[in-house]
Amino acid sequence: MNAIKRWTVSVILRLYPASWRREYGEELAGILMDKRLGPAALLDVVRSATGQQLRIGEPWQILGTPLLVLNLAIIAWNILNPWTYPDSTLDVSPTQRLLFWLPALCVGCWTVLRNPEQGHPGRAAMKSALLTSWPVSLIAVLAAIGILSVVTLGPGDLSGTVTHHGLTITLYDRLGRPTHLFPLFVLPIFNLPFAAVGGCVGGLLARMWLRITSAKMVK
Amino acid sequence: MARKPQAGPASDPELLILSSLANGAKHGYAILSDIETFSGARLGAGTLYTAITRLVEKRWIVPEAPSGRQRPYRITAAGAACLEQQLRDMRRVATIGLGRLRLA
Repeated sequence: MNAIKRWTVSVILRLYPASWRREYGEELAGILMDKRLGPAALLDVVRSATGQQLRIGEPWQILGTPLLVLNLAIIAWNILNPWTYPDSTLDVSPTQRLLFWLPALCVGCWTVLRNPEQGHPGRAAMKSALLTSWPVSLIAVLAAIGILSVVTLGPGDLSGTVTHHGLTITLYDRLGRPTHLFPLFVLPIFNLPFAAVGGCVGGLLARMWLRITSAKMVK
Repeated sequence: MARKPQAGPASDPELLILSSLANGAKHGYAILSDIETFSGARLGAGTLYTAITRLVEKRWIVPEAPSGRQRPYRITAAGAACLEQQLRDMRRVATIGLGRLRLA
């Protein structure tokens, strides 16, 4: 029982930013180990951890983690309902989507606003993109070892025309090309320079904003 | 970069912690027990450490050398002054409020 509690406490402590954990983690763990860990106590710690993440956490983790969860949910939905074209299909060219560029811009912008001197917006956007998109590489690995079948749909293809058995994921390619597993595996890495560009643009916008607001304050 | 701290005790947990530390340094668990004894409020451990983080950033409390896994916190002169001001304000409002209730 104590081992389960210790494991639970160590898991919920991971919700806090690393710097906060270094400072207060051991003390909080000591109190949590001594108290009853009911739903209210867990909710209180989760709420506190979320607050600390928003306050001092890294922007790339704060924005990347929900997007990763969203991506995993989309993939799970796609595998469970492979023929609900086009809603649950995964685009193999994410750089053509607003959902790729917008987080990169936001991460870059937030990184600079949080730390104007030392923030690296391009690097932060790359980390966020990698965190969000690694499940795409996992799809390629699962397909390579035969656990998952990959079906690629192009414009005009109807899902009903494709039949398959077992676990299948439906991808979408704008040019209607079949998906090869190695390009799919390296896709998250291939997208990093684009994420860096998005992050740098976001950082640039943030610096312009800071310059404008500081000029107004001087006046 | 930490967010700019607010000017006064922003919420009850901060006021309760400062009140608890007013008569001497305590560690987290002792603060929770003390607050429950003198105010009846049962703070969660997360809420406690969120408030402690803010108070340390405002330099109203400081951690002392750890004893075992727990680290005692001590109220600073600035923290004590702020607590005193806050309690005086509350007393003034309470006196006026109670007085008006008696008049009504």
